[in-house]
This record gives sequence, C-alpha cells and structure tokens, in this order.
Amino acid sequence: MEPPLNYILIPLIALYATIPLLLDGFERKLKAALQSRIGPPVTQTVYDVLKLLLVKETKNQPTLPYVTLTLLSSMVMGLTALYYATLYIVNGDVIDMFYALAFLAVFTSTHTITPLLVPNPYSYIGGMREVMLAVVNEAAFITSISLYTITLQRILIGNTTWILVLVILVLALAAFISSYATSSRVPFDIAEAEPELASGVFIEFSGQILALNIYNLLLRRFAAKFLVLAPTVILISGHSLISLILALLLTPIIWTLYATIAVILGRSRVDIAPLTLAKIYIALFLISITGLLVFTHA
Amino acid sequence: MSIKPVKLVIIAGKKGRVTVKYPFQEPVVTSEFRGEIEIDPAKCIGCGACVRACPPNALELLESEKETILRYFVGRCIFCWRCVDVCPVSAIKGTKNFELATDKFTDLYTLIVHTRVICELCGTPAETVKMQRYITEKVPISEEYITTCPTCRKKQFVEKVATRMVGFSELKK
Amino acid sequence: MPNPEAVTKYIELAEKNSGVIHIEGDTVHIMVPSSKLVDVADAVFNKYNCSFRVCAGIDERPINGHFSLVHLFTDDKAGYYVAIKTYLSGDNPVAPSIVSVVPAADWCEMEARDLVGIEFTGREVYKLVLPLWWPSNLHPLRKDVPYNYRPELRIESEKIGSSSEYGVIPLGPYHPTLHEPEYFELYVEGERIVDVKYRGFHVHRGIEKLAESRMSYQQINFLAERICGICGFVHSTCYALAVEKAAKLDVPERAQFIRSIVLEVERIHSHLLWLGVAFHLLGYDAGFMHVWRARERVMWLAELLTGSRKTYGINLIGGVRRDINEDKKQKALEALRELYKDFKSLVEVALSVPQVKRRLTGTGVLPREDAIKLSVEGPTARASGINKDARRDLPYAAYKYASFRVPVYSEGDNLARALVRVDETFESMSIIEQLLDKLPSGPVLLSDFEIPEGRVGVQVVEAPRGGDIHYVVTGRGAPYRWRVRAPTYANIPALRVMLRDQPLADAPITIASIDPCFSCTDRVVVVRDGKVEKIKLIPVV
Repeated sequence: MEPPLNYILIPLIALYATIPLLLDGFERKLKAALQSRIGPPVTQTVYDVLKLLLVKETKNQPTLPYVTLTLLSSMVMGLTALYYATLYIVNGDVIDMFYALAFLAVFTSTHTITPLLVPNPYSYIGGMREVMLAVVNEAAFITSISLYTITLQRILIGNTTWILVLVILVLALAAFISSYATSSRVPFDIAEAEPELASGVFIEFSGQILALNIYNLLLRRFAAKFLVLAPTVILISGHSLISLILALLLTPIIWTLYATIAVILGRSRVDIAPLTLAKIYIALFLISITGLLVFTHA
Repeated sequence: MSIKPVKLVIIAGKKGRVTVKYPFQEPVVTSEFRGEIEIDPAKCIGCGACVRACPPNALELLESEKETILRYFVGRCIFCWRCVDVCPVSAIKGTKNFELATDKFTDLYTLIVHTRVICELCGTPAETVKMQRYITEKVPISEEYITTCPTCRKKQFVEKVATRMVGFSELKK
Repeated sequence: MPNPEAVTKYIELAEKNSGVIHIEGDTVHIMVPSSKLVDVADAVFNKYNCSFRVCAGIDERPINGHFSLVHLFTDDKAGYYVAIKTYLSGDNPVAPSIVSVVPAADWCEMEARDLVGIEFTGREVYKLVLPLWWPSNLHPLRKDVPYNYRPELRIESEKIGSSSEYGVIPLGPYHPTLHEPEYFELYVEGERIVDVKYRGFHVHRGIEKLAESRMSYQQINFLAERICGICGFVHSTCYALAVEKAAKLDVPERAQFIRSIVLEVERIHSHLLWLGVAFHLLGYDAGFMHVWRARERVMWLAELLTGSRKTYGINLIGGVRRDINEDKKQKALEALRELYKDFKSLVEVALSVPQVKRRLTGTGVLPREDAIKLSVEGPTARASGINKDARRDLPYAAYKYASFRVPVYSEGDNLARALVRVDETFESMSIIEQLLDKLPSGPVLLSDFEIPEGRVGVQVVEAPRGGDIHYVVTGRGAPYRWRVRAPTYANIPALRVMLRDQPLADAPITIASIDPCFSCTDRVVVVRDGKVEKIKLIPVV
C-alpha cells in the first residue's frame, strides 16, 4: 500500500459507511421534488436508522439470531468489497478488483436471502422473488464487470482499436444496467411488489434488524455503483488518488441519475423482469464476446 | 420505448411543490366551509327545533325539575348546519373553526341553561321562560292559557266544552 | 323518457302468470303469486334482457300480516324500472329462489334470508351478512326486533382456510396495508391463482334498520351520505330522488341541475382517486402523487360549491341547501379548464410508462357473457362490452339536458377498465360545463310538502362504480322500508372469474380495478364451489 493511502484508509472506510445514508436522504428529497412535494429533510435516513437501532426489541422469534448474524456479516463483506475496490483504483492490481467482485457477490447474495430466514408466507414470497431476480442479475453483474475490467487492462496496455472501444461501450452498458437492477429500485424492487398483498420483505423486520436491513440495502446500492465506476475512472485518469476522488464525486451523480429513472418508471412483475433482463444481457454479452474474439484473432 | 415518461420531470418542474406547510402556514379553507357552530345563549329560547333536526343527536335537550339544558356535543357533530337552518330565532351561527382537538373532555360540551315555567294549576314544569315570552310576542294569547302546562290546558279545554254542551263537567268535581 | 310501447310485453307477462300489474310513472309494478316467480324472473331477465339490480325482503306483518319479496330489474333500453313483488306467509315465509335463471341474485337472496328470515327453496343456502355465531332465529330487520336490542351472544373465532394441496394466501382483513376491511383467500399453485374465497361484511352498520326506527325523512339524507366515503353524494341523491318519486314531489329544476353538477364533480374526484391508487399498486408512485395533486383541486371546488370537501351535506328531500351564484360558476369553470390541461398531460405520460402498460394489458379479463350473467355495474361492465349507463338509460336529475358519450371497450382487461374511467372523467368535465351554462333560475328548495304513507319509489343513480339503487316504501315520518344496493355489491362476485388463472402478482391490481368500495357494500360474500374441494377451516385464535 502506498503511504498516502495508508493514512486515509480508516477515514475512507468510515466515509463509505456513512455516505450511503446521506445519499439516500438526498434521493428521497429528489423523489419528492419530482412528485411536487416537499419531502423529508436530507438527514431523515440517518434519523430513521438511529431511531430503529434504539427501539426496544420485543419480538420473540427463533430465527432472529440467524437473521442478525447474516446481516452483520453481509455488512462487513460489503465494506470489504469497497476496500478492495479502493485498492484497485489506487494501486492497479487487477486481482484486487476480482476480490472486490467476489466479496460483493457474497454480500448481495447474503442480503437477498435474509427474508427466507423468517417464517412468514409474505416474507417467503418476497424473498423468493428477490432470489429469482438475483439469479439472473448477479451473474450478469459479475460477468460484465469482470469482462469490463479485463478489456480495460487491454486498452491501458496500449493497443486500442475501434473493436475494443465498441466492446467496452457494450460492456459498460451491461455493467450499468446490472448495477441498476441490483439496487432494488423501481422497476426492479419486485420484493416490495404488490404492497397490498405482501408489504414486501420488510414486513417481518422491526427495530434493530430493520435498521441493519435498511443499512445493508443502502450499502449495496453504493457498492454497486462504486464498483462499476472503479474501472470507468481508471479509463479517464489511470491508477491514482485522483481517480479515487473522481470516483467518489461521480457516485452521487450516478445515484441521482438512477433515482430519477426510478421515479419515472413503474414496477415490473416477477415473471417479466428476469426474462427481460436475461434477454438484454444475452444480447449484450453476445456482442461483446464476439467483439473480443474478433479482436484476439485479428 | 418512447421518451414520454421523462416528461414527468417537466410536469413536476412546472407545478413546483404544492405542499401546504400547515400548521406552520394557514390552512386552505374556502369561504363556504362548514366548521363548528356557536349558540348565542341570549337569543336561544330552548324550543328544541335544532334537536329535532340534528341527524346524529349532537344537540340534546336535557330536562330536569327547574331547568331545560340545551347541550351541544362537538364529538358527535357532523357539521351539517341543519340546526343553523331551522332555528326560528337565528341563535345558532356557523363558524369556520375546525381545529377542535383538546385534552379536556369538558371543552367538547356547550351548555345553554334555561329556567322553566311552573304551571300555575298543577305545579309541574312546562316550557322555558324564554319560549313563553317568544310565544306571547308572536301570537295573541290569553294569560290563563300561557301560564298552564299542556296537560292542564287540555283539561281546561275539555271542561269548557263540556260545560258549554251539557252544563257541567265531570272534571270540575 | 321511458318508451310507452315497451310496457305491453309486461302487461302480457303479468296476465299470463296470474299477476296484477300497475304502472306508475317510469316504474312497472307486477305482483305475482310466489309459484310463478321463477317464470316471470326468467322472462324478464333472459327474454327481455333487463338488468337485475337487487331484491328486498319486507316485513309487512303490521300492515297485512305477510312478508313480501321484491325483485328489482331495470329495462335499460326502454327506460323502465320493473319491480316484481310476491307475498309470503306471515308465519313461515318461503320463496322460490331465482338463482337458477338469474345468477346475479345470489347475494341479495341470502341477505333477505339472514336479515328478514325468508327461506329460499331450490338453492344452496349459507349465512351471508350475519356472523356464523349469530342466533339463528333472530332476524334484525323484522319489525318486532327493536333497533337497539342486544342479544346474548357466544362469540366464536373467525376461521381461515388451510389446504395441503394449494398454497393459501390470506389477504386482509386485518392486514396492515389494506385500505378497507375485506377478506380474500387466494388459493395458489405456485404463482397462479386457482380459486378465490371472499368474506366481507365486517362493518355491517345496520343502516337500513336505523333509518326505519330512529330517524326522520330529512335526517336520513345525512345518514345516506355516510354509507360511503367516496360516493356519498350519490347515495343521498338517490335516496332523495326515490322519496320524491314516491311522494310525487315537483322538485325545482335548478335544484336538479345543482345535484347533477355536484354528482359529476364527485365522479371526477372518484376516478382521479382510483387512478392514483392504481398507479400506486403498479409501483408508479410519481403518477399517484401527481394525480392526487390534481384531485386536491377538485376537492377545493367541491368545498366551494357545497361547503365540505367530501360529505357534501347539501341534499334534502325537495331540493338542495346551497346555490351556485355567478362568482362560484366562474371559479368552477376556471378550475375545470386547469384540470383538463393538467389531467390530459398526466394521463399521456402515465399510460406511456412501459411497466404500467405491460401490467394492465391482458390481465384480469372478464368475458362478456360472464359480465351479463352476473349483472356487473359501471366501468367493469362497460369495459367488457356492455353498453349500460343509468344516466342515459334511466335519465334522472338534469342529465337529459346534457349530451355526453358513454365510453365502451370490449377487451375486458384492467387497461380497458382504466381507460373507461379516464374517458368518463373527460366526459364529466364536459357535462359540468354544459350544465353550468344552462342553469335555470328559480328556487333551490321545495318548502311545503307532505310525504304520504304507503308509496313506493325506486331510483337508480349512476355512481362512479356503477348503478346504485335505492328502494323506498314510505311510512309515517320515516320510511317503512329502505333498501340500498351499492354497485360494488354486484361487482365483487365477478372477481372470482377475473382472478382465476391469473398470476398472484396481478391480484391486487385486479381487485382494485373494479374500484371496490367495501364500506358501500357492507355485505358478505362467500364465493365457493371452485376447483378447490377440500378446505379445512382453522380458527384464527
């Protein structure tokens, strides 16, 4: 690790841990503005999470310890993924990026299955729907970002051709789409679906568990965007601290863009969404893999 | 996939924020709004027309030996203002007040107390003093008639008719 | 106007079935012996294609020692109300059921059985309105039961179904996100709904009994307004029109115009509310917020015209209590112009969102034959190709002075129902403008009138959800019998057809697409005999 990075690592991790809450508050304010309302103050999410953490938990459920453990461990893994992504941006060791992707994969999978640990039919419905979407999306996320990173390394080495540029654009598109889909926003928040039927996966959580769940969700959104931006900023300004700062500045901008898209669209259905996504990803991957093959053989 | 959904941003921009910051801002109430009613104790004669018209029985007439009390219970009021319509002396006025929450239960009751007239013949209480005065103003009526209760009036009437027809009345004996 | 030639077929029908016929204005009263009831109902419903509305059981023992049963139909093409009445014995009232020929009569017969105690032969019977633990010989609408009588009760727990073959998803009534008390039990196989069981009537308030015993004619207007939150004015207008028809009162024209205008304002408000809720169920919250922002303006307009944002309270028997002066008229027209532009752009944007279109199209289909058999009402019927609208077929208040189009679609899916409501909103705006323009001068309230006893008045008013019917038999100072049937009562049995074989994800939007107003309905329906045979009932507590 380079000396400058050493000193700022702890504050950086602390920043990663707190920024998602503020960004979510900002998203709610933006959503309210698009809906002609005033909306809650920007620090509302911070208040919510703090209040939930201080609630006297009165539930008596046998699976509660498992849920708590799962959520805590997934939180740690999320932060680890961000740490490795930071290392990759500054140092340039590709293996760091793959570590980050691995940790992110486990993070999102663990967070996705928490509703299934609760013995309530509505939670099962919500959880299984999340799983259905995750099966398609997580695979696409990991594949697209891996291919993206590899193609990026090729470009950095020096031999850029128009084919590689095309492939990188296609892969970037796939990466951004999958990062949007994993962030559990409309149109893909199908676990929240049908609020009249089953109030989403949050119905069985309360108090500290709900606080952890919300926090994990926000961290997941942040990590999804950060990991997609990591290779992108390298493209712009190489491996340096400046890239890190650029990544930290671009994340809120991408967050705003995603938030706006979420407001202007409706919720998709559990059978439509994975199929649509699968079709898009297959098309994009076919183009990019064909491009890569052409490049290697040319 | 058309670009139309994005137009929502334009619509939101044109309309701005429409939230009224009540209670830190005045509520949006038109001139026609119906709030709670106010009964003027000086004008009220205790006739009970409002009680008969009130659909949910928010206005009630409670009668005891000496008094008739008109009681208005805001908790049951549906703010229809039928009482305002039917009061013969226009004692009930409607206001635009709707902020009626309170933590003292007694605030919800308004009591208008009237003294009752005692029948000169049998001593039972009859209508209110104010009503007696109101009727005397509106209709030419004999003193003997107005100072007796309805039961005594009926008896007197029957006696008079009987005396006129057969010369005597069972009741007088 | 009703077509006088159309009456001949009813006269022939009455003569053929040893019945007595009496025509009063636009109502045809046919009295038949109970043995001929099924034949007459069959002819009226299937041969003459009348809509079935409701049936009412009446306890007439204080008057003539008998019970009676009235079936109410409407001949929409000719513009007549057809009331078929039969008298039953005072000791043991038994009537033949018409469910075999008129499937739509299922619920109301069971309601008559529960509340008035009339037994029905030739059908399966079950307890509909009253809870299962209610004493079986206590029929609340009988005249010998006081309205404030509290029986000794042994309350048992409600039971929910449990099956090993299918998944059971209970939906309500204590569910935290449901707006109104309703209980649907969805039997699912994976994601596909196989059958539906519904039980409602959790908030039966005994309004009909209250009106007969404790209230006076003018007070009931306000009670009727509170039957429903959203279509309250429809109920109070329908009641007032029914009593005015029974007493043959000459209500001033200006009052009728004002009633029509406020009815249309209520229709716009209701449809905007429904659109918002539908968008919310589809996850498109931005549409929900913006449509309700537009609706806020309509509620401001209603407050300006009537004095209250929702329960308007301006109807009395004989007219209305509030007038529309020139200033209010200008403000109303301006508000409508703004609303038109706003709503048009909103609907364009909202219905172009790909998820909204995809989820509304092709889901919750109600085929036309089922819709006719079940006599569904309102937009639910018009979206399945049935051209039925009480404002045009049985004109009341001032609708004959306005020209408007009745939107009819034939697909019968959720999108069709949504589009019918959108079109109706635009038509309502046009109707209000026309009526405001033609407002005649004169008084708004009839002051001196009497309501004679023993007269019958039937009236249908087109609520935002369909045709609402009130049946009044006048008594002294208060109605002798008042029967209300809100449109959702007729629409809920259609849900069973709409929900079958649909994915579970579409259940909420399908249930919402009939625009259910359960407080209007306050009836219980147990929809049974589907594919699911063995259901074990387990108590909730």
